[in-house]
Amino acid sequence: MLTKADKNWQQWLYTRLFENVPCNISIIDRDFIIVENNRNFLDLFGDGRGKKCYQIYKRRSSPCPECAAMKTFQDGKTRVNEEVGVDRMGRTAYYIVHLSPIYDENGDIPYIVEMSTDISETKRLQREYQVLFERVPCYIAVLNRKLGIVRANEHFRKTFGDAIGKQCYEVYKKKGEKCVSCPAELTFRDGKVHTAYQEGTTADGQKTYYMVTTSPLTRDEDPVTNVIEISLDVTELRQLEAELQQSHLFRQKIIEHSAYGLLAFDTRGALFLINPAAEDLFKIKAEDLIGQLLPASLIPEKFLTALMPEHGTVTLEGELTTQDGEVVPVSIASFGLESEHIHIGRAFFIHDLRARKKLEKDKIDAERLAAVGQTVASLAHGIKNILMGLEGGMYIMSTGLHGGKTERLHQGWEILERNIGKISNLAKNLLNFSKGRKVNPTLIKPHILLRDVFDLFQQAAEQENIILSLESAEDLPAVAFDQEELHTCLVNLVSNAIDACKMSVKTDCTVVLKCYNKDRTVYFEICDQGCGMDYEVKQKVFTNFFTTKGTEGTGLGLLTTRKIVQEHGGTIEFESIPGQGSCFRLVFPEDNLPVPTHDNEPA
Amino acid sequence: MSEKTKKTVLIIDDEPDVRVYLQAALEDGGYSVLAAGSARQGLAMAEADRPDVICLDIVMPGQTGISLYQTLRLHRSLRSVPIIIISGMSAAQEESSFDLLKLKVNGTPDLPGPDAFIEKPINLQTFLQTVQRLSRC
Repeated sequence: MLTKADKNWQQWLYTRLFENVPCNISIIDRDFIIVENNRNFLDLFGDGRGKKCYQIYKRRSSPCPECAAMKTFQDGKTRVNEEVGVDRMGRTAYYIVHLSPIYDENGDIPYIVEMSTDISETKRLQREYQVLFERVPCYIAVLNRKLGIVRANEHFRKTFGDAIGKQCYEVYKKKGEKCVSCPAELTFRDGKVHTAYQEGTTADGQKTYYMVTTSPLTRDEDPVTNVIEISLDVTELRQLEAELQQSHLFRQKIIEHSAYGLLAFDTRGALFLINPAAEDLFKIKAEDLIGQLLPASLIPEKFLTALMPEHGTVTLEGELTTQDGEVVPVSIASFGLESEHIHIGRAFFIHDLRARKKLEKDKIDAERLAAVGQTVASLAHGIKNILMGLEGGMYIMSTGLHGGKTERLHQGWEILERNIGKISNLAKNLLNFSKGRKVNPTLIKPHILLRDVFDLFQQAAEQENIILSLESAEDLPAVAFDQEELHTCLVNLVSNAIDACKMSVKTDCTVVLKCYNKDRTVYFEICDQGCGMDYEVKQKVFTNFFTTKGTEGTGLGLLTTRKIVQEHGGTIEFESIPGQGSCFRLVFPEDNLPVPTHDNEPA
Repeated sequence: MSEKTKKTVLIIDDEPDVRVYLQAALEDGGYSVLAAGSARQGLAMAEADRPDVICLDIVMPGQTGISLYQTLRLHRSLRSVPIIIISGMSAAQEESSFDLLKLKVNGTPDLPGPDAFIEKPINLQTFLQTVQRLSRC
């Protein structure tokens, strides 16, 4: 028999148990009225005592259509149900409810105890995993041991079509038998994770490439009953790779078949690329030099320094010596190699100029030959005038001698002297043009050269009432010119300018001599306010034996000038307006100038 | 021959040596000679002294020889003065100007050709005979 104290203690224990058990407990009577509920119930659904259970659990005004409690009242069986209700905050609540009958002494069931466990959180997680499973941008499929697909996510279904119940190889590859190397099969065998690169066919027949990882669906299960396959589509990546490879091949071909020699070296100066054209040019073998420093003998140190600016691109013309000692004229474009703004080396594009130089020389030779050829016919013109002068001189002398006129002797002698001078001048000009002397460059400051020419003409110009003006920077850097040749050019141009002034109707004319250096290019400008040239004269200005100066010109001055300028890698430009004057400009890019034969101190 | 009966020849040539030569030769041949070194000076002298014969170098700087020839041929009081063209022109010279000159030399309905054409260097005897022939007219 229990004592009173024992009963009290038992009462206390049951009450504690009722209140603290980790589930929601309510007791309902046959009218579905909650007669008691514990604290957990109260926390989730609020106090339900005295209210209908469906009001509390589901916020309904009438009993549920499928009422499990009613069935238990009728048959006395214990039931377990999953239910969806509404908590006291109005949120959907998922719970598992356990219904047990409470019998009285008569064997009737006046009450039912409902014990429910809240599974809302589990449900939420389940939903999230479901969304994750469906929406993740991978193909996910669950296979059974017969390689049948039991589940497949949305991305999978969209790409490969209806999959459930089909064999994986049917769906992935549209073929009738399983693959030779099957990662899922391996996982079924050893329970481990396997990875494979696969090629499949989509529902609309497109090739697709994916990286598949297979793993057991349940951990530590032996044997494995299901395998989950997660595949990452790499079709685009593969396409990019293919494009990259193609573009790489394309560039490789360009480099290999380029007529330009190509050398590339890293920041330490070690060669990492030599194309066949460079091999041919230098007479070297790539395999002997890759990884090595560029041999100093190939590109002269001085040239190399100029080709290594801190930034950017530079193009130079110069000479290289091949491995077997041949000197080759080349143009080299040098540019920095960068990868994501980091300097990783330098590349040289080398253009073999032998063919071009030969063509240029051939052209000059042809011009020279043509000039010499025409000389035979054209020289007659110049000589005729001189001859007439000579005949005149002889006539005057002879008549002076026979008639005893002494002044005629002097006059005739002067005429003879003058015309002999002219013929010697003509011969010199012809020789200068036809003989082709080798350029002998030395370092000289351009403005000093121009001043010499200015001094030479100043007095003569003054006598003709022509103002000669020198406008030149005072301290230009010395560059390599054949001093004598360039002097000839400038003398020709200034002499032409003075002649143009003499032919002009204007009473006072100015000739401006200018030189300057801009963007590493030396400019000489001789501008006059003389008679100018009309269209026809402009067209013929560089033609041999063309002269506007009657018997005074040989017609070789500008031709010789142009030849010299070209030999210095320069160009000659002119503008002229009839009646207003002409402007001749000699343009010498420093990079094209010849290399000085010896480093003379600038004059 | 007195100064008054002497025929006057005007030489227009930019080449001083040629002027001196022709002047001496013509003076030795009994002519009174005027010499001009430019087209402008030549025209002024011709207008002032109306020579009996004009010897004109057609190739002078700036094509002034050709334009002077045109001026003289169309000149009211000088159009009948005989003109001897003296030229050092050769086939190698610039072609269009050569054609232009040929046209002028051979004459057009508007512009008669020259009375004589003598190429440099001149044969002195032929030159003097030509001057003599033309100065008689």
